[in-house]
Amino acid sequence: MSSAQPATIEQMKQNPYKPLLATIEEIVEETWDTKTFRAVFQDEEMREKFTYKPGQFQEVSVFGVGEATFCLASTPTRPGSIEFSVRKVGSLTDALHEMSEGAVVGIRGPFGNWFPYQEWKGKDLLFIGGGIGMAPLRSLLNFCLDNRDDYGRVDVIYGARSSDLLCYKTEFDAWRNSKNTNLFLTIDKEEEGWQHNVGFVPAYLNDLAPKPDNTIAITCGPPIMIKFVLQNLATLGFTDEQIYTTLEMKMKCGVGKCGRCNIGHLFVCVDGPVFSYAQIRGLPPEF
Amino acid sequence: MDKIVTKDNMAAWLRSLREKYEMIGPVKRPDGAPEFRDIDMMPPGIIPGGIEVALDNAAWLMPPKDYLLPPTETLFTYDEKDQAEPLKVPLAGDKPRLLLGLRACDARAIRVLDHVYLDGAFADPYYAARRKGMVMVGNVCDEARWSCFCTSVGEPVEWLKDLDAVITDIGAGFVVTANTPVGESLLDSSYLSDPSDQQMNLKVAAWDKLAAIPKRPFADKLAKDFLAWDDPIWEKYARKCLGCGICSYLCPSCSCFDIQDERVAGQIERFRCRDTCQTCYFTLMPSHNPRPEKKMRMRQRLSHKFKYQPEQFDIIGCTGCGRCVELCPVNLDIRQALAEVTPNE
Repeated sequence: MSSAQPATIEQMKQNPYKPLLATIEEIVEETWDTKTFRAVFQDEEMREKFTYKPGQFQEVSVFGVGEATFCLASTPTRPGSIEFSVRKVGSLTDALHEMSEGAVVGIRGPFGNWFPYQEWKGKDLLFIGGGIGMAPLRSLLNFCLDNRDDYGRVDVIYGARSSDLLCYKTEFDAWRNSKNTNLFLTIDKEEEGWQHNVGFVPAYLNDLAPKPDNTIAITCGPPIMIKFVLQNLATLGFTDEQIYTTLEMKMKCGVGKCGRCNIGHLFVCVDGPVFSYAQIRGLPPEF
Repeated sequence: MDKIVTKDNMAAWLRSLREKYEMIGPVKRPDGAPEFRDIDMMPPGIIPGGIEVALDNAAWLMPPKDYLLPPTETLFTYDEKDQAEPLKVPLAGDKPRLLLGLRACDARAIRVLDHVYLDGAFADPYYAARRKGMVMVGNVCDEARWSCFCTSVGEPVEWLKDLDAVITDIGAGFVVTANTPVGESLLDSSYLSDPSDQQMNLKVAAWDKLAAIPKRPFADKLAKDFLAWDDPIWEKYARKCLGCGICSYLCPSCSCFDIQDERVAGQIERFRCRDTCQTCYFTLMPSHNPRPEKKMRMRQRLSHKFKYQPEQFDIIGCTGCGRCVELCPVNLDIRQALAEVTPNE
């Protein structure tokens, strides 16, 4: 968790409830229920000014329907637009999925803390993602690959229930082909033509048995996956301080006012969403 | 600075303040019950002579937070047909507000709200705009109501010092004490004069009487570590709770809100409105709900006030006003829960 003030822009400081208008420029169908949206701010100056850090999130408005929280799935090293991945789970995400390219959305953010990537320079990074949980990891992963010389070996373990539920497939080759970077894919059940591992992510992690020396593990995915990933990382010798994840809670305001996303005295919207496992261990078990 | 105003001159003095301020205060209704509201808005005839404010210690139902955080509030409107400026933020009124009749607990609640809404990387601009020019005038309670417990959660005499001016009823008149330059400006009036030593002694006696309200037995264990996570009291206390949330709607320091969109007359309005941690929807996500059971939500509300806010802002979030005690439909009593909760030694 970074202790610095969140990166933000003056307009959000003045009124964090007033969204910036953005146009959906591109929609990628990741899976049958998940789309990635690329949005460009209508204000040209804002396209340059809007910056963020991997791990931060935004509130996305569909005017007349409401607002929901999505992590920034893109990297600030590729400015000009932002991306967020949306799984269809309710009225707001349904409305987003109905949208076509050219539609207008509102964006509030960036909010929350970020992965302490500056402290990780020179370290090896182990990404462990499951399903749509890959979204915040993708922001950090692409950020690190765009600053490739700052980091050591990068291993990515990514799994889903089936191959058609893996997101960001078009980027797999770019990840694989980066220097000193490995992509380990796994799906729960055997499929015809599947060239990669079969099995749950935590089990695959054990098989690969990465060494904890000088390594930071970053994980995000379904709660049950995270639970066993954390157990297995501990068995592999990772300390609580070497493990990071992002937490999800119901949010409305995104700026620590509406009182909805607290875990004990911490608010996930301002004190998170990025937490080390050492910090999570100190939290009441209510998330 | 202290001044004295006679009971006869009180109404005239308050009326003179209305020229400069929009005045909000506890106004006596025809049935005698006080109601916290805009004094200017009272229809003529209901209050003969213009103002009859309730400066005694009758509790009014609604806490003064309504005037800092309206029950519903438009954050912006969105008109897609307006190409130049589709998003419009409503502007706050420019006549400064004077809140009259605040009690020590109300003053404390506004301190809690200030922490929530003004601290941190983002200040809430809607709250800040209302709070900025707001003048707070309070009065000293003559005695504790059956439901009150302010001295058990802090020092009400200290809380009074957050107010710009404090009115103390000394029988024959009111001593008005200014705590701030704004408060002193209110006292600059021909209706007020310098108090005698005897009158000042009566004021001090009234403040001492407030400080001497007996503490509840739980007062001594109100430290931030005393709420145990697995205390069986949560289950016991929550069992008869209806989950109606009236405790938090009427609480002067509860301020959690929801944000929703509504289509009104062809344009879209985004508004916020009161919400309560006592419903299961408060934290419900598509994937799961971190607080699915009533006992968890009960633990959240009490822990927020007595553990989390002390950790976050070094302030107890409960002011002991007793509204939740008086108005709970199933007679849940927060004092009983606090008395029974196990100290976390």
